[in-house]
Amino acid sequence: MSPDVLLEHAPLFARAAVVTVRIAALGILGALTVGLVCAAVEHFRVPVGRQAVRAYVELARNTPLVVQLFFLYFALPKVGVVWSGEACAIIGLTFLGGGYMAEALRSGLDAVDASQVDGALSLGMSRGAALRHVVLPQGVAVAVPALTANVIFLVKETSVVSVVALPDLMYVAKDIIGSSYDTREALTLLVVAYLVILLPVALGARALEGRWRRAGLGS
Amino acid sequence: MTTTTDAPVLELRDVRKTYPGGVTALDGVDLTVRRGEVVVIVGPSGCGKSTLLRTVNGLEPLTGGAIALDGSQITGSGTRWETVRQRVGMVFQSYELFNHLTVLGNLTLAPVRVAGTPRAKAERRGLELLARVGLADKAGSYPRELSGGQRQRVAIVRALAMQPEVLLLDEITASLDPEMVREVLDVVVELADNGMTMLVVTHEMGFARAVADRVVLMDRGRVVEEAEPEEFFTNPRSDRARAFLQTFTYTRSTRRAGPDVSAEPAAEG
Amino acid sequence: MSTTPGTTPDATGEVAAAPKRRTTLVAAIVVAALALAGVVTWLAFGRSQGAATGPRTVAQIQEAGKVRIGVFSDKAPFGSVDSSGAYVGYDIEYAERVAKDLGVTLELVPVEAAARVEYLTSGKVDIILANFTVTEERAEKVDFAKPYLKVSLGVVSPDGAPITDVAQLDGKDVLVVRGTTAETYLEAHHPEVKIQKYEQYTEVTNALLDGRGAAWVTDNTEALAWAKNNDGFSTTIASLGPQDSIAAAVQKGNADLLRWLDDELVTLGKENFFHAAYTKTLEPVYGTDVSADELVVEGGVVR
Repeated sequence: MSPDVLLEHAPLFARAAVVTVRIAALGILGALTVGLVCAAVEHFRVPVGRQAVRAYVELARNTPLVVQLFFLYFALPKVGVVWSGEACAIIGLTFLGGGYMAEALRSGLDAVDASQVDGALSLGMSRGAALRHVVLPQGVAVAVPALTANVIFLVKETSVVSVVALPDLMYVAKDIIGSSYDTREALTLLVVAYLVILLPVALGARALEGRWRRAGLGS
Repeated sequence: MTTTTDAPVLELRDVRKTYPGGVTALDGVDLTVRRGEVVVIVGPSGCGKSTLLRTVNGLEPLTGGAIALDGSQITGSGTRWETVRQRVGMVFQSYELFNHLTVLGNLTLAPVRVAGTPRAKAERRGLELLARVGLADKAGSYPRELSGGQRQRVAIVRALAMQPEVLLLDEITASLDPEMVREVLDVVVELADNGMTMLVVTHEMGFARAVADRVVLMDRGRVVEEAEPEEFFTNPRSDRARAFLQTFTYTRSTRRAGPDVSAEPAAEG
Repeated sequence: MSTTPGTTPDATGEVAAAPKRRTTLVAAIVVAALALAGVVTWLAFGRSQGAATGPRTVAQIQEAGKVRIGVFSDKAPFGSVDSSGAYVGYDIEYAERVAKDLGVTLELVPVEAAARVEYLTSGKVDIILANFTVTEERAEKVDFAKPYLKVSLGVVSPDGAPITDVAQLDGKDVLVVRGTTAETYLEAHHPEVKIQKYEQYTEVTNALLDGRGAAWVTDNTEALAWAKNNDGFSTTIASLGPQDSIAAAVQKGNADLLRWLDDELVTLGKENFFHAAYTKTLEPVYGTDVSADELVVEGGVVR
């Protein structure tokens, strides 16, 4: 393993890391949004919506991202819908991640006693205000460990987007292995790059959980 | 000695509540509460006393009858309960403090978000209220860090922070360890002395006797007896009242003669 | 949140800190696990850079009774799987003959273009017969036998927007399969082109059909075959880059098998084997567009 080779390839990985982070960030944002809507629909027992959300969550969580990407990228064009590789990746991550985030957020919301709403209402808050100021903060706090796990999972899942020709970290690693055969260096840089992206996420989540420990939330 | 005026603050007329399954919790309740009055509702479990309380601030919708607050009906179809609840506060058996907020945060959330009070003013008022119940030093603590008695006192001042005209207290000592019941009830007595109109549901008979201007006994969704406390507890008129009070009295028919307590304790190893 | 007797927090509200011993134990386990993972990874990759399984001599293969040959499963008419699941193609003809003349059964292993070198260096297959173009770079990692096909690069583009000159690809998206000479050639000679790399032939052809790129650059033999079968697309540049040759490859240092293959080519040359293979597999595809001699290499000698 040569440090020169590591340094030689590092800039390529840095550029690819930006792609990975960008796709992951947008996908995770989409997933959180979808997840929140789904969790609310389930928590409030919206008729019809509930069943639809259940079906979606099962589908999203039980199909691999690779399969979803292939469907979006190669199958949809056959019916006239052609999305760019990056769009497919973000949509795929949103679809897949949304299912996981929905579950995490629903558990969080359900963990908040319904009587907390009574407390809020009795002070003159509307149901919306009660949700926003009382239920949601506590529900999210409970959900944070699961949400963090999902975030880390989704970042790792981005490693398959190279199948739709996106120049992410895996793609670049394969390039280097294929052209210069510096397999050891390429894979080391690959692992390091993912750690650099994921460790701050994990540490940030722990800090967040620590903040809530005093209030007794989340555990 | 409490001061009351004759103006009724709350008027409940023929209040009924039947659940969709057919269970009737309230079977025609009439009740009037005058300003500054403390009305204590007692009764066996399942008699509907908590349900009655919850109809007053709309947490339980009525299926019959009407309730008026300060002369205007609040149980019509157009009622904005958010507005009513700013005038009718409630304290719960399970405190329902917001765990993710500090004590001060709990006190200021509604004044700021609902009443639009500027935060600084709301915090000042909150601290004053906490000082009144001796909890000023807990302003930055989280509910989880407090004892049950402390939490309930915070819950009471949280309701007071919205400056309600009427306070509903729903079995507020039922979850507390006995030694903490006192500190909470002291607060309620002080509120009564200061003229707060209150509707209290409790099963602490000693407390009921001390704080009530009027005691109301409910059974199976109806008011069975209404009287001033002394009269109720010493000379109840109805059989039901008598039977109810009997459940709090214990007698033993024979008693074993105990050891001679006047003698000095035997010296033991 | 009701209070149960005995669980009220103390006045300071402090959470009991996790016992220090337990944290240290957890940390130790994590470090040990990481170290173990590191060692295993090192061993795994160290091995694949060298030779995980040493090269098998002809005698060893014959004793084992089976030869493993890596081929394409999705690159008609060279290596593909027909509707009954059987392998067919120009490379397959060669593979079947090799097994027959070795006197062993044939195990065909489907490979991806980018993995061809790896499959040899790690010993997963004895021979690669996957339309493998001979390049200097590859020759550093594997040993090539003498060639059996001539090839250069070709460009396929849609009839509606034909690419007749490489310069037209400037700034456009071009599709290639990862690990092919097309990829290397474009990166070396036309850096202004935006390359989209796919792992498999089915993916890249789908992408072309979906309009994801202006053109597909691949072996001209492949280009001709595919374009003929797909309306709306043509091989608009039939010969790009240098004239190359395609040959069987074996693990580096496998002199024994290499010698056997080169001798075999001489034998096959005498019976015009590859012309026959061409007639069977390639002529139906190319028809009269190309003559056998333009592509076929007989006896291992390029004419």
